[in-house]
Amino acid sequence: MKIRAIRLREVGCFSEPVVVEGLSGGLDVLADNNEAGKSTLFRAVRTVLLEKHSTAKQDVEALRPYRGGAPLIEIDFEIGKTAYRLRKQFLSAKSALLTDLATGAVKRNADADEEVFRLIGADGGRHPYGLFWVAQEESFEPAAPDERERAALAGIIQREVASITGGRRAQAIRNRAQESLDRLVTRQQLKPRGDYAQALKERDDLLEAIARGEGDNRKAESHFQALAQARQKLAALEDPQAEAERQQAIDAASKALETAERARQQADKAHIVLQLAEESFKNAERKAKDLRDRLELEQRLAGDIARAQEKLTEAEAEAKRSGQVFDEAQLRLDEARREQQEAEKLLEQIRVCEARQRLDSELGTLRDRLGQARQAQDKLIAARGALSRNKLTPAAIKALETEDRNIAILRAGLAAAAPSVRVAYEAGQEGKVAANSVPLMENTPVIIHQPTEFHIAGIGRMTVSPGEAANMREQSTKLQDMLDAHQRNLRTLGAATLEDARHLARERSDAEEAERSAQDQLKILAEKGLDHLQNAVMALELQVAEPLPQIAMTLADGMERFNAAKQALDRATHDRDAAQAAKAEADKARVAAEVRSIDLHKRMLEVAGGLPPGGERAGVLAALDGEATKTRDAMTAAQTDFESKTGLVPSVDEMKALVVRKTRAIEAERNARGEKEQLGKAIANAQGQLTQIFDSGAGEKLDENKEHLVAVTARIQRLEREVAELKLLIETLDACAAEARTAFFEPVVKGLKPLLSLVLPGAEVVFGEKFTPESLSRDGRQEEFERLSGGTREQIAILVRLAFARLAAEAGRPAPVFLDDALVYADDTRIEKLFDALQIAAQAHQIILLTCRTKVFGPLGGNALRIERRDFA
Amino acid sequence: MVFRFLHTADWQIGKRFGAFTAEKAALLRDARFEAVATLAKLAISRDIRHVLVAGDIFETETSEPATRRKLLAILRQHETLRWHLLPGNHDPGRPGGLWDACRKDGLPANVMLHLEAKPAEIEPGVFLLPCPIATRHVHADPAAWIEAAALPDSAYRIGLAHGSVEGFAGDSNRPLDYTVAEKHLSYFALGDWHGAKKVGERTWYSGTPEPDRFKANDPGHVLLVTLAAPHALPQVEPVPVGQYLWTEASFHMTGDDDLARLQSDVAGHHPESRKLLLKLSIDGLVPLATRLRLQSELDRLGDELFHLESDLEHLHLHAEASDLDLIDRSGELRHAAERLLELAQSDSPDRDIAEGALARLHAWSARA
Repeated sequence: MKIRAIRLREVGCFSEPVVVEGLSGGLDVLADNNEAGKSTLFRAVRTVLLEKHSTAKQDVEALRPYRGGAPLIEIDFEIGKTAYRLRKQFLSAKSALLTDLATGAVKRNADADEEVFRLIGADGGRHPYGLFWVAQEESFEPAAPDERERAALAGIIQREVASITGGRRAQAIRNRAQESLDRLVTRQQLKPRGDYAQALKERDDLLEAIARGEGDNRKAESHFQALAQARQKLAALEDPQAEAERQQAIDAASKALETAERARQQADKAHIVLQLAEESFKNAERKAKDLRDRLELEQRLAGDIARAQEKLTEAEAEAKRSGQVFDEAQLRLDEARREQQEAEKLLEQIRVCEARQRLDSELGTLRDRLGQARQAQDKLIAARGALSRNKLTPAAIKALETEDRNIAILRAGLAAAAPSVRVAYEAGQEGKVAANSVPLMENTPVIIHQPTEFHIAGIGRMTVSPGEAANMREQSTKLQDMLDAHQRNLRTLGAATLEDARHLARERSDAEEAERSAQDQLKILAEKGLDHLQNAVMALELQVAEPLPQIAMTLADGMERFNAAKQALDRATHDRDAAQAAKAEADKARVAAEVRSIDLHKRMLEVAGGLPPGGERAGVLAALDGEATKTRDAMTAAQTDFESKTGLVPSVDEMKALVVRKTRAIEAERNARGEKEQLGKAIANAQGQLTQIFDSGAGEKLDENKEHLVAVTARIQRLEREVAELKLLIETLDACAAEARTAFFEPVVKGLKPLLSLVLPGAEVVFGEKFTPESLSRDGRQEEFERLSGGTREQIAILVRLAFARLAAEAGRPAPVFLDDALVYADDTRIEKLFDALQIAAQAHQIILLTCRTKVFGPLGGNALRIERRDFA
Repeated sequence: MVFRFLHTADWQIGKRFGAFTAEKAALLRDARFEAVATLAKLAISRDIRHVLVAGDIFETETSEPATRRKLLAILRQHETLRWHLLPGNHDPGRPGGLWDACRKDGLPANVMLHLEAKPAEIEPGVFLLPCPIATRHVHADPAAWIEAAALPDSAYRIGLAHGSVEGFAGDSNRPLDYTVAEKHLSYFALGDWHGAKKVGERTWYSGTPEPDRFKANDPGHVLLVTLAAPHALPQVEPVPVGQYLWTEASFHMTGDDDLARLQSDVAGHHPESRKLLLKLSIDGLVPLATRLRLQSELDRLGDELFHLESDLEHLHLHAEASDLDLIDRSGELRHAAERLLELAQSDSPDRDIAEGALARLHAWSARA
């Protein structure tokens, strides 16, 4: 379809009739200002083509002008090679008229409506015009066809795609498979659920129960074995022959042990007899030997006593001699000590005299310093008196000089500004002119800075006044004040003039110098004060007042005598110490000789005291030897007896073995009794345990669980198989659906590609199931449509619509693309490329573009339209 | 004197049938008690006094007390009969074991426990030579003692043992050398093999009176044995007493025509379908539609029979383009069906999964 003309009357903003004619059927562009009625045109064309004339929809009502009326819309259009004119009036004057412009055939009202729908492919409510006609502010929305539009698109596309059928049934089956799978496993992680999970749990429970049951079986088997073994052991223990053997073993072991014990006791007795005999023999032998030893000792001691006596005599003589030597040395020492004390005393007296002489000298020096200090003290007092009377400090004299300088400056200023009077006397008339009663000197100017009275003798009085300038008076007053103050200050400081003051200031400076000099002198002479110095003098005077002995010897002589005395004392001391040591050594030797002699005598007394008298000694010795022989014979007999009895005693190991044998036999019997008791308990326990197990019926349950496990395992295998089948079915259906979708959109993608490559080279649009652009693929990455910039979204949306329109055109159902104020977000570069795209697209189908941006859309070209305000038939 | 008795074994009382639902398991458990009552009635009806039970009377050594007591009550109830019970490997006769528990429960006077390998004269001149098993696992021949048993030549000598006959069951556990024993016996009554089976001239397995597993060895009988003289060959009459039939069957399919054959095959196994337990293994190559209809038929059979266990592992799908038309002629579903079929016909380990997925796709597409 191509629209060739649009005419409106009483439509929206057009109260008066308007026409837009001369549409080319290619790219038709209406560029006009805002509120020119472009959007009204857009709505009018959509209404006349897609709405029945009898409609009362709100959209149509909105086309009624403000002042009222029945909107009338007329368009000329072509379908194929046939030209039609469609005229519809809505609301109060509703009518429709379709005229075949070639034949003049007409259809009216409802027939006209239906025929138009049929011609443009909108019959049955399935048409894609909503996709092609983009109203204001809708251009950036993605081309999202509604169901009606999708059906129309699908109808168009299916002519090209042969295999696109069965999608709905496939989806239904997929949903059913998914529902079945959802009942068995979770969607995301495919974890078992429902019957499947229950079967798995049942299997786990059964495995656990079977493990328990088999554990019980093992326990039962263990109890059976324990019971059989216990019974077997008990029977063996209770066998009479075995019991008799155990008792015989005890009796035999006991008898053997008793025999061994008796032999050991007899041997022990023989051993005691032997020990006593040995003791008797040893005593006799020891007594004989003891007597012989003491006799030999007595002889040795007699010789030792004689030699000790000789040594004692020699030691006593030596002690006496060394005592005499010591006494002599002691006398010499006492003499030397006295001489040394006298020399020392004399030396001390010489030193005292010399110290007195140094004190006298020191006292003279201190007395001189005290006199000088007192003079300095007097000068200090005098200087401080002068300073207290003289007030002319350096600051005071500086202030006076400043005042004098300021007066001179002020006075110079006044003199410069004020008139001056200078007199030149004629000869002999000198002094006849007086100013303020002071005679004027010739060529001495009088500065008139205040009214000054001149008296000219013989002539009269003349008053000369300075000018009335306020400054002059003020300066003059200030000068006078300064002069008065200066005089007051001089008087206060005790000076008549400044020169006088300067003289006083110099005197004050001298007094300050004298004060500093006196203070420095006092610090040197009496560092700690004058009183301290005076006290020191008095203390020395007291010291030198004491009388001194008269010593004729010098200190050097005194020292020589003292040293000689000291050396003599040292020698005497050495001699006395040597004599004392020799005397001590001799005394010690004498004492040792005495002690030795006494000890020997004492031992002799001890040894001799226990011996028989001399005549009896041989007889006593023979008797003792006889006793020793007798006891030795008795000991030999006891030894023989002991050895014979010891041969009958079992060894220690043999005794131990006999004890062990008896103990073992007794324990064996006791153990047998204990074991019988334990076995009885074990049998009772095993029987009790088995009774419990038999009462539990565990075996039946175990068998049942094992059989049940087989069934559950088979059920799980069936469910696993079912899950696998469902997964495979779903995956297969999904893969086929994806392939079908790809094939389905291929024509759209193909149509879009040349347009898109102009604007976004290398990019591809990916469509969703509902023909909606979902993403843009470029530079190897996928960008969601919603995340693209507004401009790119708008451009893609327009291009997609153009691709849909191209598809429709190629399917033999061309429809105009109507863009109202589109491409508002495109930049300068992009918009040029979009113009190219529009031009290319317009070769396949009509594009009617309405825009208020006349300048921007100038380069677009195309067939320019304009709204003409004129009536039409 | 003619001596007649019933030979039975492997009652497996107390077997729980845990693979079945609680309701079906209870029915199968009860059937084993009912089998004892049935053979008691048979003995009485044939004027027989002695019933010899060759081991495995109980399924497990640790049966529930109620199970023991219920069986003992049934045995007691038929007081004219003498029940000769021999321990088997499931219920060995060991001290402190199951049979002691039975004694504590109160053994009926008409029940003779044979826990020792020594002759028991059960009627004048009729000796029973029991070969009890005292442990679960036996490696010595429990019947070895029979050869040396000193009995009068004129006596009837009936061996009673539980175990595996060499070269028959091939079970190294519980071996029995019947060839030696039966030379010294009038009849050798064996238990352990669950089907009725003549092993030697005088040696028989009676089998279990009530089948309990899918094994085609002719179970569900009791043997009525007649000994005309001590050395005469025994006359043995297997009498069917079992209620339930456990059957394994294979079935080959190629198309819809086989479905009717399947129905008639199943019906031929047992006149009473509610007593039939069928383990059905189906193989072949069938079209998609047949596979769908087979499933419906199996669902129906599952409801009708006491138990149906079907194994379709070796039943494969074949599909032409026209078969896939049942799913869709074109489009996504057709494409998916083709993919699954391709995978199902490949060597992929997932081909069975693909078959299942294709079958589901087919089943659901018919309703989508």
